Amino acid sequence: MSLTRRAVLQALAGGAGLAALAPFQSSHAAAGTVVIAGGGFAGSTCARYLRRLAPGLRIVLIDRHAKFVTGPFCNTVIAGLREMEAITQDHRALAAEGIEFVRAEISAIDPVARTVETVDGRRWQADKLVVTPGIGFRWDSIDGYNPAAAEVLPHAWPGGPEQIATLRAQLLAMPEGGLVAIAAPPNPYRCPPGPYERASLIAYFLERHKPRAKLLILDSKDDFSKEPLFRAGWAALYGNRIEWVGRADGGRVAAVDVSGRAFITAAGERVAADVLNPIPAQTAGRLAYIADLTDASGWAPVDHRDYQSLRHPNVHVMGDACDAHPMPKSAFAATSQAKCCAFALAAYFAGADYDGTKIINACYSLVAPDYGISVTGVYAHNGADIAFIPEAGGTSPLAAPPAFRAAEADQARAWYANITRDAFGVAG
Amino acid sequence: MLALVLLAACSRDAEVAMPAVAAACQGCHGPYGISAHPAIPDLAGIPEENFVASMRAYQDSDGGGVMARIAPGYSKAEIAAMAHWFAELGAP
Repeated sequence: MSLTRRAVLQALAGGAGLAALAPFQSSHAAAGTVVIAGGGFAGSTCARYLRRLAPGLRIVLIDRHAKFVTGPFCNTVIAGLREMEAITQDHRALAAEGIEFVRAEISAIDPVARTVETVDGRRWQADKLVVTPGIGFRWDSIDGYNPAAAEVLPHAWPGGPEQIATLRAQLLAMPEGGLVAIAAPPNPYRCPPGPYERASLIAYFLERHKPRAKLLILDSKDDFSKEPLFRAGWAALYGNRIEWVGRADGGRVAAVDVSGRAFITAAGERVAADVLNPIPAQTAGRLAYIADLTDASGWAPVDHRDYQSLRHPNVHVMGDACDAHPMPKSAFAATSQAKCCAFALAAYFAGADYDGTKIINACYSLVAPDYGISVTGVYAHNGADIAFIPEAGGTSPLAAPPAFRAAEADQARAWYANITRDAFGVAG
Repeated sequence: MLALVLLAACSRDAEVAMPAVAAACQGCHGPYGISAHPAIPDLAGIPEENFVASMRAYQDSDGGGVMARIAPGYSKAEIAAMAHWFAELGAP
């Protein structure tokens, strides 16, 4: 983006965002190459919306995996409510739409030259780069926990089908009257309500298959997403099966004894369990680091009008890897940001104006298969920053009849069906 | 068959250009406002005036549902832009 164009955008930013209201006429004439590194919710959504908005562009999407196991609904597979296949997406529909899908491991990204190299020696030159790697783990956050240990004690966040299948198998194999212990991470991390939905659905599984078993959440935080709603749901459905210990009460897990199957808390207390699920602290994914897009926070700072990196012009970062506070790191936020970026890129190649738009977060959690709760937010950019609109958003009501919870559980399933069609399409 | 579907999809965008503010709606309601599950309704083909009236009703609602929380975030002009595009898409 030129300085002049930046100045124009800044001048427009205080207004109502008129370009967001104007229909965007897609242009076959706009030509150029966009290379997208990472094919999760953000990267895939960006590719598909860019295809819709600028059919003349060459769009290359590079990901090392043929299949993508989603974070959303992974807890239903862990609890045995869905099969792995039901949460597994791929990029066949994108390829059929004319997006060049490349399955390869990226070895280098040059954010100045705008090139991407893969380990098999191929190289792509982009006019605009999009880097959407999701999260990485801070392996130093739990002493003794590392990629090898994660094969024994899975984080399942979600980390691929093996991670989820291993946690599922350990739950099935645990003894009657056993203990499941989850180490919940410090903020910020992918899917803030996720550890608590996981605890809920594991409790649902224990009720039916291990009725004397308990679940313990050792938390690195003193409060958590949708906490009053989860607590009300747990009290109504699971009695005292779930116990939560916050940071102030010594809940932070400092180390893990992998062979001894125990967590060691910051206060030195040893907590042995039959199933351990350490969820480490998180940072931007590896590709954001090799592309020099992260700052001291460990996340990628961006301009929220177009998700352009504040460190390297012509490189855009969306989804979990970018710093979008106060937006949570959720799949929905990632897709919403990716669409905003797709409009910005389409406008750039068409020589048109675009000054950002309001975006949404909408996330459901299942406390049980027929008990859903939700959190929503509408966000507007304020200059390069993003802000929560206080008149909108919030969680499900704390007091609501069972029919309301059941309706939100149904909406959660509809949400999954629709957001995955929106991001990944439907393979023919 | 697939090619035909894709052409239809592309021509949809070419004929009825999408305003950026309507992009986020499709995360829950499905691409082009066509939902794959009855628990979340289609937006495609809703007559403009019905769309606007529904959003106003949500803005005034204290029912606590997801749309009652999202609708208050949008201005009259933003709702009008969404309503126009989803109506123009036609019912699936």
